[in-house]
Amino acid sequence: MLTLTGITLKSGRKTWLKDVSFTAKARRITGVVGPRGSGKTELTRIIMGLIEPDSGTITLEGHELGFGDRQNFGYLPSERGGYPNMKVLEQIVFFARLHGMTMGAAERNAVTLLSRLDLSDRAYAPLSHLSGTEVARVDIAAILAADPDVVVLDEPFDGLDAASSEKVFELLRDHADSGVPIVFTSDSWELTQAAADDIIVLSHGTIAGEGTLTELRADHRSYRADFADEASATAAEAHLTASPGVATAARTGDSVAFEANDVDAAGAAVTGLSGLRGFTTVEPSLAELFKEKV
Amino acid sequence: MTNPKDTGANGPKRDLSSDLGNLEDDEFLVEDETTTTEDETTTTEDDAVDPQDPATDDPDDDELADDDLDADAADEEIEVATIDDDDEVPYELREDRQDPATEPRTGLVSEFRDLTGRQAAWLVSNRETTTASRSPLFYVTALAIGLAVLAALVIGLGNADSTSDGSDTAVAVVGIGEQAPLFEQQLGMTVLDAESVEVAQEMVRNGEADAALIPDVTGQGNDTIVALNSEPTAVLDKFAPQMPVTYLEPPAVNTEAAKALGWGLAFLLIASVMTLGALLYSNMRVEKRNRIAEIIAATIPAKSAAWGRVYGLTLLSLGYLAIAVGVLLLGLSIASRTSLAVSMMPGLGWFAGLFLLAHLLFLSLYLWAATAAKRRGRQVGAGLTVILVLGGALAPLFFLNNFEALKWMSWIPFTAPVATPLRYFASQAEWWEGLIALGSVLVAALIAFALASAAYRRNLLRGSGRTGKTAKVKGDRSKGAETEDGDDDAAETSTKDAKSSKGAKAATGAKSAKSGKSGKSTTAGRSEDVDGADLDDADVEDSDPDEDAAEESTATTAKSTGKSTGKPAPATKAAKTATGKSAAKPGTAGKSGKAGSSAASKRKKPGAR
Repeated sequence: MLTLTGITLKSGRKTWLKDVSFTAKARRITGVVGPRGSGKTELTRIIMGLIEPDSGTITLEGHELGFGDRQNFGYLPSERGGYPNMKVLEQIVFFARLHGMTMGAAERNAVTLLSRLDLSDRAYAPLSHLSGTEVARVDIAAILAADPDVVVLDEPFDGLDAASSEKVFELLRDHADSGVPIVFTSDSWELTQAAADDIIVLSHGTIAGEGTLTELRADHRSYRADFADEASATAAEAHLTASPGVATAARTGDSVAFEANDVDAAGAAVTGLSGLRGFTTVEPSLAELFKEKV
Repeated sequence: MTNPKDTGANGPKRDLSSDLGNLEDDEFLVEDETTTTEDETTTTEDDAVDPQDPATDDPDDDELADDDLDADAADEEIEVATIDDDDEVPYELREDRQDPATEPRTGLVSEFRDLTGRQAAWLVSNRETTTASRSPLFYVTALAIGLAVLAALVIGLGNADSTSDGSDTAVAVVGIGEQAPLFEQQLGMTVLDAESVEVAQEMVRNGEADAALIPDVTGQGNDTIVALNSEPTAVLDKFAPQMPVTYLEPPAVNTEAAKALGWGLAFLLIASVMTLGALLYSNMRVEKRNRIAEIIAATIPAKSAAWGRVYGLTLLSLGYLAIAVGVLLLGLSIASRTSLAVSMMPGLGWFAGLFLLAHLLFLSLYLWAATAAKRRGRQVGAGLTVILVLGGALAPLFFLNNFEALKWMSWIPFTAPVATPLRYFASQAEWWEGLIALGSVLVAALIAFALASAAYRRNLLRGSGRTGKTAKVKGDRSKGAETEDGDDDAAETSTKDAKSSKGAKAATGAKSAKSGKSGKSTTAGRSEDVDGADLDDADVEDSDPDEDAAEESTATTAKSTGKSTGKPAPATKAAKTATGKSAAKPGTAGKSGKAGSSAASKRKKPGAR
């Protein structure tokens, strides 16, 4: 369990991060999502000890992290690449060994990971001969080959195509299941929603929302009622607006979208409306929830 | 999805079972379905053709033992089937396999050992040397060095041969008496009669004879030739089997050869340092650009990473040294110039040591240059290093006959590698003077490495694109921009403020400027804001024009600070104090480094330009 408490990073008049606190739990993938410039990269660098925050602490299983405690953290920087002239396998083995892994174990893990990422046939090719998505996969393999205790990934899905993203997802999931907290950052709402168990929404250096997707949706649930024709929909819109527990209602065609306090209130509101053909809960995506707020 | 680990775990197991007396691949294969796919190491062609019939197995194998085994195969079948069980496999051969139940789904194994700083440095150096030794540049240089030495040998020896036709050489022969004219005719050179060995030696010493031939009177040993201090090639060429030469004075390398050697050594040093330095530099840039530096910094101590690359490439330079010296000595001995070869030895020996240490020194300088965050800084650093290398290697060659100058040069770290061997070639140096030269280069190398290592640590995250670090740099720049905007008072106030307030960050300076006396400084502060935003983009590695422009402005800023206030020192101090808080923290590599660097870069730049 990796816990960040009150992380603040300033420089000059600019505050990059302000009082950021969250916990990345073991066996969970924590996604930090936010637009460019929201402080994600700074956050990963602080976790990795590359930048010292102005205030705040980072603890792993209750112990504050000091210099040298991050030997077996897997870290994937953003805008990365490998050694272009080194062979893929050598490269992965080199990084794994930097973490203290033995030669044999490093090679074995490298082979395992390469086969899982569909790169077995490129093991002896220099990195410069690989395509962009292959390089991105090699980077992931290089991080995971050391079987890290904590994984911190900055924009891990950069440069990955859909198919390889899927493979990387799987790999990260398996790795998390082995009891490791995984933290990644992304500026893609969709990918974060798909990959993360716990989501931290970062906006201008502060946390704008945090929790599982369900938790984040809890306060923003909206409903949709479908009607037989527009006339009954129009009537229903007026009725719903006036109903207790319903915040807003808006009609589009023959359906009315409205927000209610909870599902019971929504159900009560629509009960007995004429021409009602269906009533569903609309689950907003992460992007819909936060895109405009951050 | 199949677990790749399965195949990995089964492979060696299969090999093992079939290695145990080639028991029966066939039956084993049939029984164990998971292993029928590929067994290329043990299944012979016959097996593949007819896997069901053990009787036809190995028809062309005449060994009875094998047949016996085949016959026994039926009996041993049970054993074969249970060979999977670890108990059946001797401990030494047992494979270290995890219990499948506890095996993680990632299929990864975890086997660690504590990585000491030295081991980490070794890993880095190993990677560095592997990459460097694979680059074409490395081979081209190696080839060039080899060919250059060879060419020098051929040309030098050719010249030497043409001048020694033997007509004007004289040889003193002991106890030859009246037979001298006879000998003279035979050898084609002047033959002088000497009554005794002493007389002959005296003749050699006073130059009357070039060499003395001392016949072995006992008839048990060989005749010997005595020479003053250099090989009497003309004399030796006349004797079919080369005779051993003894010297009255220890040989020194003659001036011509020493001159040629000096140029050769300088060329070798320059070629080697420049090649390896360029490789180190480009590797550093790749690491910065591809953010590998960050991964390395997060994993191993920065000092190990810095040391690893310097010492790895220094060791690689041994290759060049071996090529050059090897070809040279081999060539000389093939051409029977052993005395020349022997006389070179002390000088070459000192050169070897100095050569290595000089690599440590110059490669550290290259590392230092490569860590600079700004393109301009790197260019200046690399340029200065090149000048030092070239100047250091070539300067002694212009003072070949000025031994006083050479003596001083042999104690200056940059010129020592070439100056010291030149002195030894001329027999002008005591044995311990080499140690002084070595010591001076070593000390310089250690200082250079300490500086480079500190710069490496502090610039880890800088100059690698859009980074959080630039933010700090911007903060410092903002102050520079303020002072540049002319208002001396405001500038000084802000400087003082920054100095006095303990925890002053860049913000303090900015604030004081804003609340400063003139309205102009306020605007300056604001416009800087915009400036800062631009700089953020300009810091992206590849946008060179912007970067250079930014660089330019910073440099001029620093300059004008010095000029306008007339007090460059307090300004520098202020910069230090401003970031002093972070630097004082018992920090990890990251922050304190950054703080120092911004101060240092400010200090350095005006001088560098």
